[in-house]
Amino acid sequence: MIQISNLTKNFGRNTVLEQINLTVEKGQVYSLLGKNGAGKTTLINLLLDLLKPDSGTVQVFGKESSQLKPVDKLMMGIVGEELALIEEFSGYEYMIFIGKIYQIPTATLKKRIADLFQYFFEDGKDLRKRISKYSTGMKKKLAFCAAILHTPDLLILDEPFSGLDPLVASQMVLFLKKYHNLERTIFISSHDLSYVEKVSTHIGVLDQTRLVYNATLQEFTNDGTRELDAALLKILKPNESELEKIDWL
Amino acid sequence: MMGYFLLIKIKSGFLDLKNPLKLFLFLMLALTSVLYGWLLALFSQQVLMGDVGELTINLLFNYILLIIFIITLLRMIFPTYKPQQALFPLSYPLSRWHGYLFSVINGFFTPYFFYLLLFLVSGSVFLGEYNIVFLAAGSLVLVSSQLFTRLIQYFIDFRLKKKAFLVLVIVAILATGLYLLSITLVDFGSWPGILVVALLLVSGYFLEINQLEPKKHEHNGGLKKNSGVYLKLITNNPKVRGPLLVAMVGKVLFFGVDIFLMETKEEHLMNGELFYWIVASPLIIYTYVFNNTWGFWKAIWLNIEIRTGDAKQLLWQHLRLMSLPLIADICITLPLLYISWGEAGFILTFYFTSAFFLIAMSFFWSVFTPRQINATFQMKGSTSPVSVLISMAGVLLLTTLRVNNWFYLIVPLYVIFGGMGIWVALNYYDNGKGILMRKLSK
Repeated sequence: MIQISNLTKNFGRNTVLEQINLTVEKGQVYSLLGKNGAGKTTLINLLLDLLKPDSGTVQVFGKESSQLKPVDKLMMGIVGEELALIEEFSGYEYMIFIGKIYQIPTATLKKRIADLFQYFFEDGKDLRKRISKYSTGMKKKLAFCAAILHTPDLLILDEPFSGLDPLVASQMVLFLKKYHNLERTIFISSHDLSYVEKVSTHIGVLDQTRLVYNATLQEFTNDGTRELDAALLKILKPNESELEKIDWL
Repeated sequence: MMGYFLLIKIKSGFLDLKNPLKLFLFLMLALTSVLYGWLLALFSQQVLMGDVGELTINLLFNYILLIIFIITLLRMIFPTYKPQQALFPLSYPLSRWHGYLFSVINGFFTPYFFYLLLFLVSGSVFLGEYNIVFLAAGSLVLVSSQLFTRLIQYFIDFRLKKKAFLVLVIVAILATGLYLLSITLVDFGSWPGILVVALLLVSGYFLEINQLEPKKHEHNGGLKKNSGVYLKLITNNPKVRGPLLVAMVGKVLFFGVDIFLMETKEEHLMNGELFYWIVASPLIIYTYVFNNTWGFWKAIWLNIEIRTGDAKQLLWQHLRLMSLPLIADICITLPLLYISWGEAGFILTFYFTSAFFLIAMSFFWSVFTPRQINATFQMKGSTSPVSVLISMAGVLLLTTLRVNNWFYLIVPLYVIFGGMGIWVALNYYDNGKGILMRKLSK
């Protein structure tokens, strides 16, 4: 589904990603972890062809990401760092607009919108509110609904749980579990380890421009004997000695 | 504090001149300003000797000062609307009066005022007995025009308390007084100029302390009952709605004055020359908004890109977005141009050729020279300077249709260039996509 080979990306003299090799197979839920600024969003933008690699290749559905045709992109669903919500619209109008881009038949579209709103939004009035009036969490939920409206084979989610209250985040985890099957792939970049742990089948860790870990969730947590955050900290090794130097605290 | 502020402003101006190209440009423009001042002085001597028909020295100075006043005023909206610069937000530990004064003074620290002052000084040096009158009147007209511009900007950029509208009464009384006392711009060299500047300065402060909040933070309470999706994309987007409104109102005013002049003096505004036709074309809605469509509607670009990646779909959305403002422009412009000129053949050819060129090229500019839009009116301009210049040059060249019918031969070239603009943008969108991402995600 996703094949990344020897990928390097620089921004000017600053190398953000270096020699990344990664394969995500059909049916996996792959979670990419890493510190802030590790390059997770850059990697997603490269997958989406919003950025060009300096060297190496990024393939999605067996094609270079730059060669993806509109018909290929119709099989992808995305919640990017930029939620790309059209704030002039109400939530309902936005969903209709997105449905038209994905060429979903009207009856199907209306049913799906109704179902999704029923599940994710408690107050039906939210549908008619202008998006610019939505809270951060509501915007995130709406972007997620728009991403899965056409039931894509590949779902790419950049920080899907951030800004959500625990209830909605749990709802999203349940939804992703139901959505996931052997034909569908989910690629997640996230900091929220407790939620990642509940949905992921595979884990990758980006640190200092490189993919330093890439394995199944079982391997990562040592068959569940280790907590996910402990496993991650073991790899990222936080610098605690610097804290001791701050004597004025 | 004020002295230190002035010092660093002057110092930063000189620091720019370390760049050899900037230094060269500075010297050239300074020399040109001095040269124009000298030419004015020469011309004034001829006027004084009675060699230039019935033109008197007072009439000449009035014309010059009127041009200075109008150009200073037009800087606000041309080629794009520039909002008022609030140098120190309210969070700074400054009194309102100090903050206001700093902003006013800062507004004068631009190359435009420097070169105009140079022109006034050199003109007065080369002039004979009228030198002090000209310098004093010119300087006070310049200051009045800038202060008057700021007053207008307060009404455009801010929500104001009701009592702020008293300023309109003051300005109306001032204008009536000047008219009744037959005070012309050349009289600004003495007490009338000082009085006008003082009144405008105080009026500006009155507006400063009576503002509620910047309009850029404005949001409507609920959805408006607009049926069309594309109308909603314009009316619900304050960053688009504001500039388009200013453009349309400006255009109506322009033609209103033009028709009034035709009725009273049988002459066109600006003699119906080059600048007139720039305003008559649909240029302004492109330099204000549509040369940077994806800067204003980034979410639409991003949705089309990540969900389909289809450049043709993008072109279609681009055309749909501009369709309503363009129809409005056609409805305003063509009837008024016809009333004013009556040359249907030229008007239709000029308008629709320039419209096609601007429409086609705006797709190109929107892909290759996008700009991030952070406020309803932003200081750095909402479309790229290159796109503005080329769009203006394209429209200006079309005015040659009035000179000779042979120039109608360039019309097909505009169609070809426009077509090429679309073709290049569609075929090289893949590269442009990177530019869009980089520029719009800063």
